[in-house]
Amino acid sequence: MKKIILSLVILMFSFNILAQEGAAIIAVGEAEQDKDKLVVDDSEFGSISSDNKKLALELIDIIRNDFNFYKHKFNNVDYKDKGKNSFSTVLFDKWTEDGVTYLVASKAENKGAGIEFSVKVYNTLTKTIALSTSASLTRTQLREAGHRLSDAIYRSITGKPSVFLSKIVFISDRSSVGKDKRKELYLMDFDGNRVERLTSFNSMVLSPSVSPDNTRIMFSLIASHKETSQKKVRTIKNIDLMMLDLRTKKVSTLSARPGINSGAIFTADGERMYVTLSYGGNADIYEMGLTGGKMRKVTSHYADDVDPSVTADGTLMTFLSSRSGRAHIYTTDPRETEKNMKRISFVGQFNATPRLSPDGKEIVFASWVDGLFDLYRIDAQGNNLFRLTKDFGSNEEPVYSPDGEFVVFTSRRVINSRKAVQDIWIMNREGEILGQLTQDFGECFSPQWTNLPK
Amino acid sequence: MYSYQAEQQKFWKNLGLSLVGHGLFILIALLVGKLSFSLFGGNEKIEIIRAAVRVDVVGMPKYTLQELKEIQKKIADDPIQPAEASKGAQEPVAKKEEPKEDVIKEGDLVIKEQDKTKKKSSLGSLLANYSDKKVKAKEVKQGSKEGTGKDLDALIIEGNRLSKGSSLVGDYSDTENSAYVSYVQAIPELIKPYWKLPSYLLDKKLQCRIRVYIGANGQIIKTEVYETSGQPEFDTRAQMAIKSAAPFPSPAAEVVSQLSRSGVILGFPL
Repeated sequence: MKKIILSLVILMFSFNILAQEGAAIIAVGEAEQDKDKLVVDDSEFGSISSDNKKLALELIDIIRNDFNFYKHKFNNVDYKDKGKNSFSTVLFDKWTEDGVTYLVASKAENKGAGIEFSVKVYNTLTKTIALSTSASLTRTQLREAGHRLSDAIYRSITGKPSVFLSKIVFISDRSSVGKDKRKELYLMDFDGNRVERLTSFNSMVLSPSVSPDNTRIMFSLIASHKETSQKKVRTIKNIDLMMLDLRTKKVSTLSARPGINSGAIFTADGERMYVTLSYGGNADIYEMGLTGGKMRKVTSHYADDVDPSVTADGTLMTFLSSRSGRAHIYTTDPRETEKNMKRISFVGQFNATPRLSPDGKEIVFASWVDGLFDLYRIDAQGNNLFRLTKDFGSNEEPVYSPDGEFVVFTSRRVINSRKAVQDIWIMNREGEILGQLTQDFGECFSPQWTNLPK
Repeated sequence: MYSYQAEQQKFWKNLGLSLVGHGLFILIALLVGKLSFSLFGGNEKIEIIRAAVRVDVVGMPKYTLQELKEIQKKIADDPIQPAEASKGAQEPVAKKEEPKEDVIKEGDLVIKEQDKTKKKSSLGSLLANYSDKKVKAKEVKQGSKEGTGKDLDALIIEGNRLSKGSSLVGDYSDTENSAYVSYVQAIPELIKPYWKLPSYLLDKKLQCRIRVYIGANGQIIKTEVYETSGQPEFDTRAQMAIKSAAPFPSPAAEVVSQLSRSGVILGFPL
C-alpha cells in the first residue's frame, strides 16, 4: 500500500513538473529556396554488345543534358566515384555526405535489336526509391526514349511534368531561293534536336499558334489568288488563315477573306480563336469560330489593339494597345468585351509581343532600347519589372514554356553590313541564357511552344 | 487778384505731387511686377513644368536580373562584420536603384549564411536584446494535429514574420520562464541559414513541427517529429536544418532541466 501511495505521489510530482515546464513552440519561418544536388550516374552494364553500350552511353548523355536545362532547380553533378553505389544497392550515407539528394542509377543490357534500359531514382534523404522503371529501345528511338525517361525522373522528384516531351514550332527562311524569300513552318524538340519541316508552300508562313491539345497549328500564309474582274483574270496576294493537322499532315484554309490579319491564336478550349481584325483603320481583337461565323469583340477602342496572348484557362489576356498614345501592354478578361481592362506597362519607348506565363502570373515582352529590342518580365499586376537580356543582340518574340520555367526567343546578330543571323535561343525565366536551339538554319522566327499533355 | 507767383507755386507743387505720384505708381508697378515674377515666373515655373513630366519617359531597368544577382553576390562575399551585415540586410531597398524583391531576399539569405561560428558568438547579445522585448499576441495558423491546437497556440511565442524585423510576437508572458523564453526564441535565427527547400517542396506549402531536446552544452539530445507534414522528405529536411545548426550555445543552468526534459517545438514554417 505504501508503495502504491509513494508511486502516486511521485507520479503527481512528475506530472506537475511537466505541466510547469511545457515546451514552447517557435516558428522557424519560411524556408529559403535551394537547389537539389542530383547525380545521373554512369550506367551499369549487364550482357551487352559494344554498339549497345554506346547506345546506352548516349542515352545517359541525353538524360544529363535534359536536366542541365533545369539547372536553376538542380545542381546536376557528374560523379565518377563508383564506390558509392550500384544499381541494386546504394550507400546512402556516402551520397548524403556529398550533399547529393537524388541519385539516378541505371543498368543496360541487350534486348532484341536494342537495349533494355532500367532506371532507379533514389532519394538519399529518405533512403527510398522514388522511381523504378525501364524502357526497351533501339537507336531510332534513342532521343524519344531519353526524353521520356527524363520526364519520368523529373516527375518522380517534383510531382510535375517537365518540358522534356514538349516541342517548339517555328518559322525559318532557309528554303529561300536567292531573292525569292520563303518562310516555312518547322518543328523541333525542346532542345533543338530532331528538326522536321511541316510545310512546303514556297511562300511566306506567318504567326503560328498551337492548339491546346497539340494536334493542330494555325498560321497565316501569304497566298496568291486568281481574281476575275471585267473578264480579266489577275493574280492578287492575300493573307489567308490556314490550319495544319499534325496527325494527318493535311492543311486546310480557315479563311481567305480580305481583312483577316495574322496573329490568330486558339482560345483555351481550342474550338475558337482570337484574332485582330481592322475595320476603317482601327484594329481590335475579336473572338470568332475557326471557320468564321459569329464574332464577338474582346477589345473595343478607337486606338489599335493587337497581338493577344491568353492563359491556359482562358481567363486572362494580354495584348498591345496604343490607347495611351504609345504601344503599351494591357490585360483584360477576354470572356467579355473590355472587361477588367488594366494598363500594365508605363515605361518603354516601344513594347512588343507580350506573352503570358501559363499560370497568368507573369508577362514577358520585348522592348525597344538603344536601337535594339531586349526582353523584360513583369508580373501580371504591373509590378516587379525585370530586365532579362542585355548586350545579346536584338531579342524578340519571347514565349514561355508550358511549365513556365523557360522562355524561348529570337536573337538577331549583325555579322556585317550585308549579313545578319537570327536564331532561336532558350533561357530560364530568371534570364539565364541556356543555349542556342537553331544554328545555320536560315533566319528563324516566331517560336511557339507546344502544350503539356492534359 | 491774379498772382503770378502764387500760380507758379501751385504749378510746382502740382508738378511735384504728380512726379511723386507717378514715381510711386512706377515703384508699385515695379514691385508688383517683381513680386508676380518671383511668385509665378522665372526658374520656379520651369521646375513646375519639369515636375509634370510624364512617367512614360522613366527608363527601363538598366541591369538584368542576372547582373543584379551578381551584384548581390559580390556584396555578400565582401567580408563585413555580422552586426554591419544585419544592419545592411534590414534596409536594402533604399540602397537599390530598382525594386528587385527576389534579389533582396537573396541578399538576406547570403548574409544569414555567414560563418556559422560568428552567428553563434552573437547569441549572447541576441538573447540580451530579446529579453527586454514585450511579447504581443498573434493569431497563428493551426497545426495539422487535432486536439492540440488551442493548447499549443497559448505557447507560441514567435509568429510568421514577413520581414527580418527584430520584434517578437506571441502571448507568452510567464516572467518566471523568461530565461527559457529568451533562449528558445533565439533558436530560429540559428536554424534559418540551414532551412532550405527545393522549389517543388516549397510550392506544396507543407508544415511540420519538430521537438528538440537540448542538453547542458547546447547539444541536441534528440529530435522527434511532433507533427508531420505528411511528406517524410519535408520532415527530414527540417530535422537536418536543426542538426546542421547544432550545437546551440549552452543554456543557463536554470533552464537546462526544461530544455532537456520538455525541449522546444520548432514549427516549419509555423
